[in-house]
Amino acid sequence: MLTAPRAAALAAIGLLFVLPLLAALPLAVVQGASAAAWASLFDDPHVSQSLALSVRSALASTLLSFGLALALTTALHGSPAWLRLQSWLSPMLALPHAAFAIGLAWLVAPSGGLARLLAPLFGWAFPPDWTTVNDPGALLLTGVLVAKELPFLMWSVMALLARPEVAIQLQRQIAVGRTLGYGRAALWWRVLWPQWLPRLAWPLLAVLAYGLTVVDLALIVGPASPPTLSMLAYADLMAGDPARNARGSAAALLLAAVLAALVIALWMAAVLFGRGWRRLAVSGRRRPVRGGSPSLAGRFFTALAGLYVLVVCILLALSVAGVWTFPAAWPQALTMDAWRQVAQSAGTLAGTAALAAAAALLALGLVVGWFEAAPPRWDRSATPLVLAPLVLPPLLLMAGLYQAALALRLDGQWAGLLWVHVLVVLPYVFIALQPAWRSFDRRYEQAARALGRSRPAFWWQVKWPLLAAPLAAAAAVGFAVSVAQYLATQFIGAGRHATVTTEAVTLAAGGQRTQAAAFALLQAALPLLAFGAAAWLGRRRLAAMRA
Amino acid sequence: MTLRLDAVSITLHGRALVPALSAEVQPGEVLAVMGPSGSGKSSLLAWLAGLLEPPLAGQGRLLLDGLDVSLLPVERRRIGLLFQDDLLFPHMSVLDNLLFALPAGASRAERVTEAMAALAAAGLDGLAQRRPHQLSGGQRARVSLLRTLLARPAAVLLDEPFSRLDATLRAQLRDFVWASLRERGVPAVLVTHDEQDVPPGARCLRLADLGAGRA
Repeated sequence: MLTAPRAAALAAIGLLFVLPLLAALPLAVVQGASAAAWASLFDDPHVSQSLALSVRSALASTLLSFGLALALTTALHGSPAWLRLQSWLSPMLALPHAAFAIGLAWLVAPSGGLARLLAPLFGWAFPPDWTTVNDPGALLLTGVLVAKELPFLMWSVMALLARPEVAIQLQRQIAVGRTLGYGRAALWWRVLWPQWLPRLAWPLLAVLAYGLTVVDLALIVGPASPPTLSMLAYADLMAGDPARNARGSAAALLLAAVLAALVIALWMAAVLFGRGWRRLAVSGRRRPVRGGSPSLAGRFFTALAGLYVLVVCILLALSVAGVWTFPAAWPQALTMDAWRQVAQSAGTLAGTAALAAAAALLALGLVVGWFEAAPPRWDRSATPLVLAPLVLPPLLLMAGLYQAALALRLDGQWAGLLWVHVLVVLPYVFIALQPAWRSFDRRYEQAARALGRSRPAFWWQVKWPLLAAPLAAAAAVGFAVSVAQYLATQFIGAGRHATVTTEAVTLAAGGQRTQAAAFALLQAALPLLAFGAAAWLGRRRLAAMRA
Repeated sequence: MTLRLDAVSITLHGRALVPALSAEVQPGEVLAVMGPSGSGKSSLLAWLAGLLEPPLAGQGRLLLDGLDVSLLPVERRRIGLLFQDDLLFPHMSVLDNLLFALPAGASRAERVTEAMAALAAAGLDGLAQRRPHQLSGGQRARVSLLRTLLARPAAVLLDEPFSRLDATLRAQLRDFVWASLRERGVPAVLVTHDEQDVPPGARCLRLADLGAGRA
């Protein structure tokens, strides 16, 4: 029954989340629907090359990270290494894309860590003539995307496999399949992935959309001449000239159309491939499938986790490096200048934390409101809308939301910034909280009510304590997503609200690596603190329940 | 094939759960293992299948025609397992579920013919292209048994396979299962807590009785 509180919760979600999304897209389309804008876009001699770079890096990084996620799961699921991998994912996810890119860029730069390591072997006195950072083929951009999207896809796979109805089914199907004579790897490829892959379409689409329209990473490690199409679009959208703004919107629309075309092409390829695959899957051959080696997969993931640790170490070293000439392995002089600058920008740090905390809590409130007000069967219908901010090209979405913010006079306002961060954070909070919330046994409520407890009393005394850990984890995810936002802050903040992310990206793009490294560390530290606090709360609740 | 349990015991956290037991099951014969909840009958079955996980552990030997298979991985034991749930793969048709179990070696056409014949013999003609969710509970249970048998197992383990069915279906399926096992000469171990599930003339091990000597 739709009671007044339930109706109010659904209305709040509609007003704060659904309405802005539905309004943003037409606004973005209107801005880009000008013949002059499209003519100007196609007059640019770089557009086709820029588009090719965007498509190539997005497609390659998506397919590679997805393939690796499937291979790692196939090889490690059910082994002790799977649990270790789970514990590594949170800190890896907490390291924002931009921070990772800043550290990795220095590692592979001609005057960076790798070259300094090799210099004694090859007798280099000067940096080698490498084009590793901002390479014209966008290879480093692709590599960074793979390294950052792989943990996200692993997290999505784990979230799916941990759902109660999936976990039980999976365990039994593996048992049955093995008694039919199939090894674990053979079972995953023949039966389990074909069954569960459709459920991973959303995160896959999110990765593809992000890769195609990424701006912050492209600013740091992407090709410069020509840049990716998203960079061209971003530069136009941020310009003060309305004609360039319209051209930027047209470029964002073009990217959205390309994304739609890629999705259709991938879907058709999956259907065709699926038919052939099904025939192979039931061929009766039991021979082990290659590529299922747990030790190889474990070593690969350890290497990836090691790369993350190395990047953090690099950021630490860079943030205190004074004079550090090539090919010296260590800085000749240390300085705290970068951290002094950070100290002077304490307001930026506090502002970032406050914005992220507010966005995470608001998104959490809306998501909990949805779970409490809407029956579970509605989740399936609502999923496309909830995940829209994840899968829509961010440039297009932000261009539309900026138009909406302008109309509501929220551009440059903290409230406007908070609202857009909530929009972006909410899908992640939803994904993080849904398994725990929806698998909560409703009979607890019936039992509590039968014992004379009111609904609020049940919520406070039973449901909240039992769900405190997943609530805290979902809030931490939301906090981390908000901290890492670049486009949303730049567009809606209209340059008036700096965060550690916008500072880090701007400094890195400007070549100020010491200060960029310090801000990148802060960018990583804030989510890590949030994940740490969530884990502590989870353990505390568990200990309290055991006691 | 003859199935032999040789001094098989199960421990939980190192403490005896099922004391050492030995038994021999002839081709087409059913050995029923009965006992109250927690007596370790499902754990015994899991050990026989090779699926027992810590903190449970098993000792002893499992022999198929004199060959010790207790150290082999699950997929190489050739021991079929039927659960309470049918566990048919929901994204595959009935025919594909059966083809998945049929060993390779013959052409696709021959394999399809064999699967279709098995369906017809089980009174399931016309259902080959249906998905599991389009079948009734009894039909799913029969397809599940066919899938297990088409994998040509050396022995079959049944973990309370009738407990989710209503009384009428239960009786029908019991007859179908025992007839199928007898016809193919497959030895079977049945775990149940219901006397009516035990086929006439089957030997019965009662874990509570066996456990009477436990410390």
